[in-house]
Amino acid sequence: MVQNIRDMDELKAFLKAAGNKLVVIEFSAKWCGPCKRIYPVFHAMSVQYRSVMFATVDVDNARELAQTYHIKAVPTFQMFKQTKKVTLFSRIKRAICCYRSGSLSEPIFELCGADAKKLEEKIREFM
Amino acid sequence: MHQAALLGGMIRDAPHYGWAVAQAPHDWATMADAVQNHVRSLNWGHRVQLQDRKVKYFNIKASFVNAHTVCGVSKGGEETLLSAEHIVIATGGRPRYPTHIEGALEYGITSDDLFWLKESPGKTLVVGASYVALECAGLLTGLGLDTTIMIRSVPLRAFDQQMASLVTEHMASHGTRVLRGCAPERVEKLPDQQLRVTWVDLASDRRDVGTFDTVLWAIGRVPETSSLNLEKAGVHTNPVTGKILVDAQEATSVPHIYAIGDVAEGRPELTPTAIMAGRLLAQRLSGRTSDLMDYDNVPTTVFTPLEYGCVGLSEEAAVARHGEEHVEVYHAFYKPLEFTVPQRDASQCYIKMVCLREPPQLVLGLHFLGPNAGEVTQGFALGIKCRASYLQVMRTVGIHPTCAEEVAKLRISKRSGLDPTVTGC
Repeated sequence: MVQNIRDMDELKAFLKAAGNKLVVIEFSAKWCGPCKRIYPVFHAMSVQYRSVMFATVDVDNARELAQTYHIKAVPTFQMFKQTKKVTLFSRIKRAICCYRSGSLSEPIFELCGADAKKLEEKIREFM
Repeated sequence: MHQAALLGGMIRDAPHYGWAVAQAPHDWATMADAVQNHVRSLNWGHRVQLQDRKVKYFNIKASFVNAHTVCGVSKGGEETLLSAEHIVIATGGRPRYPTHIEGALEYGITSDDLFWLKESPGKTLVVGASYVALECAGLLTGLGLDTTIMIRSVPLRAFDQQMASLVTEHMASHGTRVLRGCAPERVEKLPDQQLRVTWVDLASDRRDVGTFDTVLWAIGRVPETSSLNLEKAGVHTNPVTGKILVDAQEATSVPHIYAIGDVAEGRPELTPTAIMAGRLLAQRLSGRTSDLMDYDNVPTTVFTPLEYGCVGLSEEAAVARHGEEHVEVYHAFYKPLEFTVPQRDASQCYIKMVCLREPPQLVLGLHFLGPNAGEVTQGFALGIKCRASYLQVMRTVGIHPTCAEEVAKLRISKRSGLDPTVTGC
């Protein structure tokens, strides 16, 4: 299933709920042709890859979110994953980073354009 | 939409070249959807660019409080006060409605609305003689719609009149009903939702009536200045046009307030011109340059079914400025190669180059009527900007087979009286 995310709060909740799973977010727009073409493929992948979380963001409805993640073109796919290893160092680092950036999660990978093949490759690589 | 109309013509040509293409009707909704999506993508792209360059974007309706302060109101009614060292006004213009014509406002649409119609406009009356009017009437005809254009006096008033005539002639012989010397008086809505238009033939004073699905007003544009409260800032406008008076630096009557684009008096109403003027203004304000915008020799193209590209002076303007004895006009009718196989009518495919008569014969203006006129004119515009002479044009080798090469092959002058219909090399 593909969740629709409308703002930063919903994104944060989604990422938190994902735990250690790979998260794939599609930034798309209603007026974008390639977005329409790749959506069925994206949806099919969400059904196939159960251990991966899929969501979509409409850049016109969620403008601030699109701006925060520097979306320049659509569709853009961003992948997120929390690191499994938790040490004292990573805890301190996270505390400092979160303090500075306000706990903004950085994507581990970004793909611009409707390249279904590359998208699936990367999902399989990171999941 | 012009491209959609041109494709219709190509589909008709295709069988001549061997393609077994079925002649298909045009679906307005599909095209409108594509156009609207493209416009939305452009708007989004602009917003992204503003963010990229760290420009603060306020989506509010602004007006002046005083020369240094602007008040903006959001859709929700919130007010924001902004002040700045420099203020640039670029509010552009909007299509004008003929409010003195009964029913014009309630029942007519403008070019702003045309691209957002979800359904086909059907049988359309375009009122106007501007490039907007001609382009709209032309593309609607090309899409297979019953189209009439009503011109009160002359088409394309600000352009070379011989070329304007040829443009309109082409439209008239390719399916557009052209009503010259007529002015609409009244628009009424009929019970079946169609519109009944009454107009007067200005020469005979006779009245005529017609029924249409859509009436499109393309009678000119007015600047968006009425709600700006310019008086509060001390910014002066032309009392007749309503446009803001500016100097060569784009400055208004108030030194730190500037105006660019369609809202400024005396400027060509063209997007690329406004963009360049804005860019140069920004560079001047940040001290990067002292260059002023050059408004001379700005190339443009009218995207009518047969396109008209021009740069520099019209023949009339050249004669008015230099005198007929000092002007030489070279011209030629030509036939685009792509018209030959499908046997398309090339009667109006024509090129005219207006030059000074004294050697080296500086090129004052170039006028090209034919396919891909925009692409052709853009290249030659550079030559004219570099003060090319007729001699240099003659020494420029043409690319064969193109329509553009015919510009470099111009040899027959109007003065010679020779037949400008070229057949061979």
